[in-house]
Amino acid sequence: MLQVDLSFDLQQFCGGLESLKVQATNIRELLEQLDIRFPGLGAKIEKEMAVTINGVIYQDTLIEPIEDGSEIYFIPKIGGG
Amino acid sequence: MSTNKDYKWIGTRPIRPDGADKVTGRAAFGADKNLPGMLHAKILRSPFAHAKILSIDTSAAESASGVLAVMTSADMPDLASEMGEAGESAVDFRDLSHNILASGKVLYHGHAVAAVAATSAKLALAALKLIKVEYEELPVVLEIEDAMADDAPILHEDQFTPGGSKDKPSNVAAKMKLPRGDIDKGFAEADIIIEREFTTPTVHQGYIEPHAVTASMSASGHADIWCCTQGTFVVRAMTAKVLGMDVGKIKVTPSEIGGGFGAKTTVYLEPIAVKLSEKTGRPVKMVMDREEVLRATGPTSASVIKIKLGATNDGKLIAAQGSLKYGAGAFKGSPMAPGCMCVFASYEIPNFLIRGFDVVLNKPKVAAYRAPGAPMAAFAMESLMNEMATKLNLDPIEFRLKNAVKEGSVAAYGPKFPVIGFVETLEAAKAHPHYSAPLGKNQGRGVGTGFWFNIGMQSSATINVNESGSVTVITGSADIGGSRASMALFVAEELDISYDLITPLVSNTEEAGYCDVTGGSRTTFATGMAVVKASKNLVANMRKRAAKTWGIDIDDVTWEDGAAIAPAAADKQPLTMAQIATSAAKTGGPLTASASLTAQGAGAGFGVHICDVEVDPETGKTDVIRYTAIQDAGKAIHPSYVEGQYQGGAVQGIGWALNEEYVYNDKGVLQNFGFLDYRMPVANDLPMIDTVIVEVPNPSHPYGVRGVGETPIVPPLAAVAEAVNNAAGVRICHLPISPPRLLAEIDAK
Amino acid sequence: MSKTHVTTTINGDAVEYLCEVDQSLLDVLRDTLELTGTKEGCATGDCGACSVSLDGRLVCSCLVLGVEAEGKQIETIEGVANGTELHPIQQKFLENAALQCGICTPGFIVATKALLEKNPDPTEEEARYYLAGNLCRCTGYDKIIRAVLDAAAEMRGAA
Repeated sequence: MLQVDLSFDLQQFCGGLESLKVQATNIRELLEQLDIRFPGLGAKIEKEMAVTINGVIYQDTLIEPIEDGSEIYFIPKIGGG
Repeated sequence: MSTNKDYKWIGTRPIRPDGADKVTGRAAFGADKNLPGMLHAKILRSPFAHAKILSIDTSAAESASGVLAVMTSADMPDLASEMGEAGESAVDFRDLSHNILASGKVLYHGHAVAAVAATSAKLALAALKLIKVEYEELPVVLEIEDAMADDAPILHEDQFTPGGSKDKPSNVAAKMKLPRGDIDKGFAEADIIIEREFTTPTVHQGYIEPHAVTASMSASGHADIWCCTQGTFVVRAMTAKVLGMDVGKIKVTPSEIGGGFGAKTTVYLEPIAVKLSEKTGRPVKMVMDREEVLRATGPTSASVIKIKLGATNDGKLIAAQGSLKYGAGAFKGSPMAPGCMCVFASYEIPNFLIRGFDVVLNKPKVAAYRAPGAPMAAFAMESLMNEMATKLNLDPIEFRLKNAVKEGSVAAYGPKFPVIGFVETLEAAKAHPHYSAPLGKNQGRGVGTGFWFNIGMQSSATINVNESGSVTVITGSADIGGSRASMALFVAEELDISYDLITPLVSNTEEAGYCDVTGGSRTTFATGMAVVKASKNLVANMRKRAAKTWGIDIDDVTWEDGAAIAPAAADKQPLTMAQIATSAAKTGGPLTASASLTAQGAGAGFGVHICDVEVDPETGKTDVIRYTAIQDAGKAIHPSYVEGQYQGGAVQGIGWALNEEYVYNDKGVLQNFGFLDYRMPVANDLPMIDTVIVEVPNPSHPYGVRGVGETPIVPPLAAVAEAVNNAAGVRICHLPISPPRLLAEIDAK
Repeated sequence: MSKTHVTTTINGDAVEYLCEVDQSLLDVLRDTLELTGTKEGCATGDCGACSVSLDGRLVCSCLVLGVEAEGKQIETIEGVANGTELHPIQQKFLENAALQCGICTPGFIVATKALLEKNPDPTEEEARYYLAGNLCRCTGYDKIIRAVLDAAAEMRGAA
């Protein structure tokens, strides 16, 4: 299982839920699972956010494998100058 | 402080491959492209900061001497509001279109309204005066908090604050909230609490090269664009979207780029030049003048940031509260979110609450500027860290060390930090001789720290081997600060051949594989990863060719010193790269290798700056007399250009702290629209900028690279302000610390 | 408006051109003569990217009219190297990594050449003041000043 902690702004999409456990082996599966629990959430994250797996930021990828027990957090996509 | 690994090329300082052309005037920049039969186009800009466009009559201009076409927003498709990916970050294509040419309303002084293509720039300028635009002036709002007020003039009638009223439009385009723990409890446990409000003005990136483009539309509907940009593929995507074209019908060729710092990651002129070329069947060139650059491109947000900080007597931060308001300019999209994510990111704070606001107002739409949003946030937070250290009677670096994030710390923006080098950077600053050097009368020292995430995104690279064994490495990543040298160093290291045998190129969108913009400090990191991967593919291919030549298994062939060797077969003489290349036809054809990737695992960069100033108490003038920039690069590929990033970023930050600001009159007209009055640092304003490159390798990169370009602009604002405080005894919370402002503060003391 | 005929010398070459009376020397160099090594950063004399030498005097070519070049000697960035052999100033700019984007570099090199012709042994402060009319936004000037002092030392040694 993966430990998914939600930012305050995402909690507003999930009825105030702060964290949840999800079974997934890569980012695509993770987002699909979130979309099943909270319709539209996975799509929103895919479009607007980056995924952090144990602190490492993954942006614009669905195929990154996720090891069991990983900690997941979503942050706004980062740009830069 | 270098990593132990021995490299032959990585970490050396060869002359950059594009250098000779740049010191002889041979290098072609944006405005240097000319084509036969070319027309020149100029833009009519709004004389009002906020007005309805009632009508535009272009008939007189169209019949003027030498004029071939006139264009307004009516010549571009009506786009629905749609957030889309355009390279670096999300953009609303309707806003983009309306910023290129105003539709219905003008939203800032200098907003483009119409364009004229004529046989000369002079005739185009003359024809602009013949365009009749009827305006209805509207009230102007320039300050962030005025724009947030209930009775503020509204820029966009269809913009509503998410989570706010659904009936009443608002200038607050977005909000963000980042909470942790219980701030009431945290502040209750604090021994010392400081709360202050900080403001920073609108400032410009200040690249010396104005925006320039030449475009030519063929009869087959293919557009060629030559321009100075940080991202050719973004120019292609944005131009296609705004004009309703397919990206496959647009070819963007990059010129050399004369500075960007984030602001050349969007388009202003390109779609206009393409459309005018389509209308006239002639190539069209457009070059902005400096006034247009300052009035209508770039700048970065002004900010109003309030922070309350609580610490215990033992020097631990226990609570923090931040309200961060950023002005977006005429359309939504200030760097509010990264600002909020950065503001407390460097420290472990158990209880905090961050709120962010993205506010539109009647100034030009902001563009990215080096670590977007972070310098303002750090100005506030680092100023308070310095004040708190004083109140706690702690050394400011020691105080930061007590609270610094390290591997495993939960970043304020959510995730746990992987391997980072903040502590090492702070220790290097503390140990630097500058930090303990004596100071004279009216002199003071300040420190500031900075954080930036850095990013990965998409990159591609192709390596072609010439029959002599020399190679060409092609990417689509604009080189804004010497990245071609880094790409060549990666290839030299991987192929184990001389740097001089490598020609790195930045090619156009039809010949290079897709690369996202050069921005976010990603090019040496991510495009470097693609180049390394392509090099590894090439080595594998050359080992295979050698194995075939020798009739042995590829696993028995290794690559050393630029040659294939068979360690187990004593009779096989090494096959050099030149030999393999020369006989490539007989072993399977030309040698070429490519790689593309979406780079992940960009490593956060931390910097610490030490600044000494001398303040003239008679005039309020501040001189920076010594400056040291210390930063974790992960691994410096070409140390000279890493130092250059530290120095250049530091000086942009010094300018932001001491001089630079957009000065508007109450009608929203920019008063200082040239380099004389928009006063950027010049050579005699500054001392040498010392640098220390700390190297805590990023485990996600084959050579440990972290991005280096953004972080250096983050620490200076607070470092300079603290140095002024220690020199003159006044704590300045409102930038710039210009002589009149500082003098007023000194006199009021 | 009819154009004015101008006879001048640019980088040692005898040159004739026609220009409008209100056309700047910078525009003549770039647009008429296609000597695009001289850059425009502001057209108001504030950035120094268009620096050229006019009868041995360092000027912003955006502030000089094309017609004023009549009978004068002009040196631009294109005339600094001797064929493919770089001038020591150019070489030292490369060795010291004194450029990032490179747009200000032609102006800096022309200005540095003027400085070192007047003062072959400038102090750091003298170099900084002399070059204060040339803006660079990338480097923070550190490596430029080092290159200038390095070139001065080399040129004194070679003389």
